[in-house]
Formats: sequence, structure tokens, C-alpha cells
Amino acid sequence: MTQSNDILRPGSAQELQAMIAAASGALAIEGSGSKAAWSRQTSQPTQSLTTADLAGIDFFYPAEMVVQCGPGAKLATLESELAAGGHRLAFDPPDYAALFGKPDAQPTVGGAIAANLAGSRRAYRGGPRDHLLGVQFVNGQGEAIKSGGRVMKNVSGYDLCKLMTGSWGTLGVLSQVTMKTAPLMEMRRTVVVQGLEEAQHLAALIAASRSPYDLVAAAYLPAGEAATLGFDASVSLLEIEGLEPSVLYRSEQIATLLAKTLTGQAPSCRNLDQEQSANLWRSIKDLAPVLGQPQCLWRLKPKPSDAAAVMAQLRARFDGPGLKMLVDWGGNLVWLASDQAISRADLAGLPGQKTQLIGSDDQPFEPLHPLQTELQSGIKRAFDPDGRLNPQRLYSDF
Amino acid sequence: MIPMPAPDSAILAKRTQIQEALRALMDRPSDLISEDLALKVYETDGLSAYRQLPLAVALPRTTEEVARLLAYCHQQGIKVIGRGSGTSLAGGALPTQDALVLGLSKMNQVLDIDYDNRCARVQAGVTNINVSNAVEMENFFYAPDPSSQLACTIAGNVAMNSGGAHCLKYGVTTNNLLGLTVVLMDGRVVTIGSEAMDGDGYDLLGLFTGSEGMLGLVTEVLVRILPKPEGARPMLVGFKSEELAGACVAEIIGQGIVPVAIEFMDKPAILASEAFAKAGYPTDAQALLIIEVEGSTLEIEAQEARIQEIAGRYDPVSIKLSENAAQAEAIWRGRKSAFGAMGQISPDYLCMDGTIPTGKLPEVLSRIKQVGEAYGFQIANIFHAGDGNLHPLILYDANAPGEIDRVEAAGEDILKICVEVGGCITGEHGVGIEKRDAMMLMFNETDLQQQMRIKRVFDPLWLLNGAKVFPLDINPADTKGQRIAA
Repeated sequence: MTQSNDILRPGSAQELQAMIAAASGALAIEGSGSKAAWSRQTSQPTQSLTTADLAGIDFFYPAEMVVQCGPGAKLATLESELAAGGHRLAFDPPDYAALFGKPDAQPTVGGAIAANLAGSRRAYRGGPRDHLLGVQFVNGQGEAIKSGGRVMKNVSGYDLCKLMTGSWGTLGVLSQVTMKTAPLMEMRRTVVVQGLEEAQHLAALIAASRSPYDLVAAAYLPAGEAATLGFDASVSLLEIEGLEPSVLYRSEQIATLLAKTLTGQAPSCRNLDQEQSANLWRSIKDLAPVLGQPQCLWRLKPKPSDAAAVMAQLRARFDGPGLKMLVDWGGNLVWLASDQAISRADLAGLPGQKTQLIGSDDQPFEPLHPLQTELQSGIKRAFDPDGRLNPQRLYSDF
Repeated sequence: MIPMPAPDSAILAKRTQIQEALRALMDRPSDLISEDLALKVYETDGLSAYRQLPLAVALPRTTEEVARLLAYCHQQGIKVIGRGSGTSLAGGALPTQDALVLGLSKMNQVLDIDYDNRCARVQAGVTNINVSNAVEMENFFYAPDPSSQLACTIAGNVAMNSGGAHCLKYGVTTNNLLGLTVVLMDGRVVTIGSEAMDGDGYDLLGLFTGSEGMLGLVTEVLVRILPKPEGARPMLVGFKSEELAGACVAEIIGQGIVPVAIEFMDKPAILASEAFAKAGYPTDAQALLIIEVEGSTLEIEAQEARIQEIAGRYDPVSIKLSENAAQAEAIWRGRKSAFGAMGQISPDYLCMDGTIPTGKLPEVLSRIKQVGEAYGFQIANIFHAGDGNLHPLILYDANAPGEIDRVEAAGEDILKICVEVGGCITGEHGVGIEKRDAMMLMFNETDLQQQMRIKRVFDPLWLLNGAKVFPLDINPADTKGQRIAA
């Protein structure tokens, strides 16, 4: 057990348990701190606690598609370990460290789970909630709790993995996570679609997502944002992967389908190979096209069929040189960055959830309905009755 | 036999009065069932060794009606048990004498289908297959496909987080939902989730899925629907040993080929299925894999070629591709009728539902064989080999005195083995009453107290399906509400 600068650094689940049990007040829980600037700040913490030293990889069995590690494991370390065995994390977590001005902080797996952060494959391959098989954590009373396990199908008791995912360390501090991995496919390829107006691009995402060609990711970038990735005009990007003959077949079929489905304009389609695809999608999930020094960054979640109208509205309301947008998740996710301050009130009337990542609103997360607040406050008390773990980090009510 | 709590005599004393009050709350009085003969339909579920007539059965048609019924029961302290089609193999819908059974069978409408956003809003009592049927014209489907899909409801699937044969690729129920409309025990209605994935705040959608109807009653479900692949085709591979079949599965997945389904059957299961369905299963094999791949013909052939090449390294007794739709259908018919086929060779069977790390299959099968020998039961094994979900079928005769206790003891021994090798007690059937006590094999009392505190957030009086999931002898440490007695 080490203690420096008042930061608690448990090195084992037992130490974590002892530290929480002994805490005299609120603890600010963190991994590497890469996303510290995002959420609300923990209310009056007496101490910080980091899971950084709970970083060991316990096992990785490719044939069972499962990996178990401590929450402090760096995503980069874990990903390279998995890649050596021909696998990847199935939820493809992004790295927002640069976005939040902490390029040296290396995001941890616990942080990705606590913030429920999925990459571009979310709409087609699931997010952290879908691939977290088991957890061990310590609740606010200092009790060690386990839920789930290491197997893919498990309905033994309530699914606390889901509650731990996206709860920002307010319910328990993870001491161990078990996740599903996905095999790296023989071939991945991106179909690059250009020569379309914005609404047609967004229609292309929907048409491809409705097709049997099994996309793993679909994004759209307006011209300016596309230019940051080397494209000469606005672009939709459709990623597929699998055995080589299958990928070749599907990329052709997608081009044919879009030519047939989209009215008015004939899209031009070409393909990016494996390495180009990998780099491109890394840039997109880490939000490189909207990086810079934005005053605000918002994550909007419309239905794909509303995405075109949402973008038109955003442009009408906030047009200017600093406005940047990026559509991911096949149209289910619209990123909005701007040099001007944009508040939640400024986004009123737009459909879907809105979450602030950078900006001055003191409530970054979508406000809850009063009944939801009552239930979620109740859940908080069921895990952490004395409010020791990241109080008010998620919502001011709990 | 599994004990059930003693009924609340104060409620039983007011039985007729309560039935009349409930009837008055219904839009149509005939949707409240109180005659013993009619109640008999609801006395049991798929765990048919256990039976109990409920206080009454209500078959509401709207969320508002459900809300009225629950608000009244909450006020009167009447227990409520939700029921879909009653196909639970774990006794999840088993009534108690003092409880209202709230059946969702009349809430069976598909309300809205949105292909562009790949989702559909359905009433919770719609059957699993009817969701897929409703979207089939546009070449979509709903992915989770439990064997009972012709009968079982989406409400039940949500309650048990049901799986199916194809979840290796598509996941289970919890991975295929976007939102729920839930009526809480006090009658308040809460909307959870939306077309947007991963809403801010705690994931109540994930919490409700698999909570066995103990936190609230689901009346509407927003499901994810998926575009159908162009085609799908199963192949059969017979092996000389269970070990070889298991190693073959490991290599297929290890090579980055993830078929949509890999089903394993052991020798007793092969023989029973073949005698019943005559699907052309290799009766000389010790173990059989059904491997299904999907895509266009070209894609299917590419995958089959790769799988054949891998299987060839494990000394297969036979490899049989399905050359046409009839052969494909026959291959699946054998598997899907496997449970029914057991009826030909045994009066009854107990279907277990553990999950094990897939690499432990040979060890687990040999230990299950020992359990069978020790108790004198024949056991056939059917296994979702890709995801580790094992269904040992213990063959027995319920009419033989004492046999049910012995078969339950054998079942518990098998679950112990599943947990010992790193697996769990239930992969897709749920805990229900059947595995209530087996929860202690996986969890300690502290773990369970954490789960029970969550129930009390939603149902402080512990009225909703309260005799399920948790061992009856564990009392919530800080309960202020009434707790059922063992």
C-alpha cells in the first residue's frame, strides 16, 4: 500500500477494500485521469483514489474470446497483448486523452468501462456494456462484490456489470474486469463514398446499414472535417471485415446497392485497404477530425433518420468557421465542436440525448426525468449509502 | 422438492373480495380469471413438477391497466407474479397461492416498425417468433432465438435475458434491446432507453434485462432488428471423441472464424435425436457439431471450405454439408427436436443450463458422466459450443418415488462442476425457483445482499415475484418492508 500526495493507490483488491472501508469522507476515483475534465467534479473529496496499480492482465484465452485484467490496465497495453494473440477488444474503445488536453495520460480499461465509451463499431458490434462479462468491485461500504463471470452466457442473478458500466465510479470501484474479445479478421476494408450531398450521404449510411452486407462501422464527414483525413470532399465511410472472398464480394455489392438506392446523384465508390482502414477508423473514434481547441464539444444521439435534419439545424444555429461535425455509428451519433460556447439550452428542440464533453454547462450529462432521478438515487444508495464514491460526479442529486 | 414460502393467510381470507376488486379494475371483466378450473392453466410453467393455483389471473391489454392493477396490489400488499407464455424451465413464473398472476398474453401487438433506424416497438406479450415474422417481408429479423421461440414472449425473454443457438454472433436479449416501458410495483410507469444507445445515467435497461420480473413489469419493448444475411447453411461434423470435437471448436474460433452457431451433441443426444427426427446424424460418432455459417453462397462456401480444412485435422468420422434447403432444415430439425426426442427414451427429463469455459468441455463431460453413474441416471448433453452454454438432460421418471429429489441432487452436482471450472449455474434459463439455492455456489451472502438492496429500490415491500432468485433463508440485512418467510 503506497500513499503519495494524498492519492490512495491500492495494489490489490484487499487494499482497495481496506481503503474504502477506512475512508472518512468522499473519495475522488480515477484511472489515469485522462477524462477528468469531462464529468462533473466529485463533491468535496477528502482524498483521491486511483486504480492505476490494479493493472495486471490475469488471463487471455483467444479460443474462448475472453480476457481478464485489473481496471488500471492501459488500453494500449491490453490492445497490443490481444493483438499478439490475434484479437482485439470487441468494444473498440476510443482514446480521448488528447481531446481533454492530457496527451500523456494513458486511458485505462476501467475508465472506458466507467464512462461506457465505445468506438465506431458501437451500432453494429456493441459497446462496453455488451462485452463486459464479469466484474469484481468494492462498494461504498467497503464490501467486495462480484457479478457475472468469465463466460459469455450468464443469467445468474442481476446483471451488475451493466450498472458498473457508465456509472463513473459512483457505485463501486472496480478491482477486476472480464471482457469478451473479438478475433482480428483476415481482411478489413473501407468503402469510401463521395460525390453526394449531405442528406444523400446520411441516406447512404442508412441504406448500407439496412443491407445484409454486415457493416462494422459507418461514418460521415463534411468536407472540412474530411479534409483533415486527406479526403478532397465530403465522404461517407463504410467498414466491413471478414474472410477475403467475402469482403471483396460485399464491398462490390455495397457500391452497387448505393448506386441503385440513392436518387439524383451517382456516388463514386473506392476502397481503402487494411492499413488505411485501421488508421482512418482510429482517427475517427478518437475524434481527430474535430480536434483543435474547441470551446465546446457535444455528443448528440439522434435516430439515424433524424441525423440529416439535426446537422442542418446545427449549421443554421451555429454556422461559422469553428463549427465542426462528424457523424458516426451509422447516423446514431453526431459530434458537434465549436469555437463558440454552446450550452444545453442552445440545443433545445433537437431530438435525442445530448452530452457535453467540453464546455461550461455544469451538467454535462442528459438531465433525468424526476422518476428516473428517484430510481437512480435509490440505486446509488443501495451501493454507496454514505456517498463515499465520486458523489455528484454524474448528477448533482447523487 | 424445492420449498416455497407459506402463503399470507390474511390475503387468502380475502380471496373473493380481492378477486372482485381486481375485476373492477379491468377494462373487460372477463380478463380477470378467478374460477379454479380456469386458473389451472396458470398453475405451472416449463418446470412442471411444481404446481400452485394462484389467487387470480389478470390478462390486461394496456400499460394503463397493468398500472392500475399493480397500484392496487401495492396498496393492499398483494404479491404479483408476471407471466409471459409460461415456458420458463426454471419455475420463473410459478405462482404462489396468495399472488395475482399478471399474464401478458393479450398484449401481443407489434406497435411500430422502423426499418431505417433498425428497431421495432412491440407489446411485451408478443411471441419471440412473431417479432421476426413481422419484419421478415423487409428481410429483417430479431436475433435472439430461444428454442421455445414459437411460444415464449418478449416479456419473458427480457425477464430471463434469453439466448438461443445464434448468440455466438448476435448476442443475447440484453444485446438486442434499445428500450423498455416498465410499470413499477407501485403503479408508476417508467420509460427506459430509446433509439439512442447508451443513454447517460445508470443502465436500467441492462439491469432490468435478466432481473426475472422482480423489479417491475415490462409492458412495451423497443427491440433492435437486424437485416437478414443473404443465406445461412449448417454443416454436420461427426467426431471419434468429445475431446476432438471440443478442440475443433477452439481452433475454428481461434482462427478468427466466428460462425453464427456451433452446436454440440454427445452420443446419447445423437442417438435419441436420430431415432426421433431421422435427420441423418452420424450414429457412429461419439460427438457431433452443427456449424452454421451465413452470407451469400460465395461467402458460405469460403467459410465452409475453411472449416472443413480445420475439421479435417481432428480426424472426423464424417463431414456433411447441406446441399439444399431440405437438408439444412433436417440438420436443424434434429437439434431442435432433441429435447422432445428424449421423451421417446425416458418419461421425464430435467434440463440443466450451466455455462462453462469452452475449453473445459471434455473434463466437464467426463465428470457429468460420473454424476450420472453415481445416481444411476442416463444423461445426454447438448451444448452451445461457441458460447459455453451446456444443457445436460438428466433422464428420469417423475412417478418413481423419491426420484425427483435424486434428480435435483444430481442436477446440483452438475452445477457445482460448472462453477468449479469457472462457469455459472444458468446461461439462459434463469434462476427462478429451481436454482435459488444454487446461487450460493457462485455468490456469498454479501454479493446477494447487494442484489437484494437493488430489488428493494424498486419493490421495497418485496411483492413482485419475491420467491425467486434469492435463497429464502437470506433476509435482507436492513429491510424495513415485509419479507417472505421460508
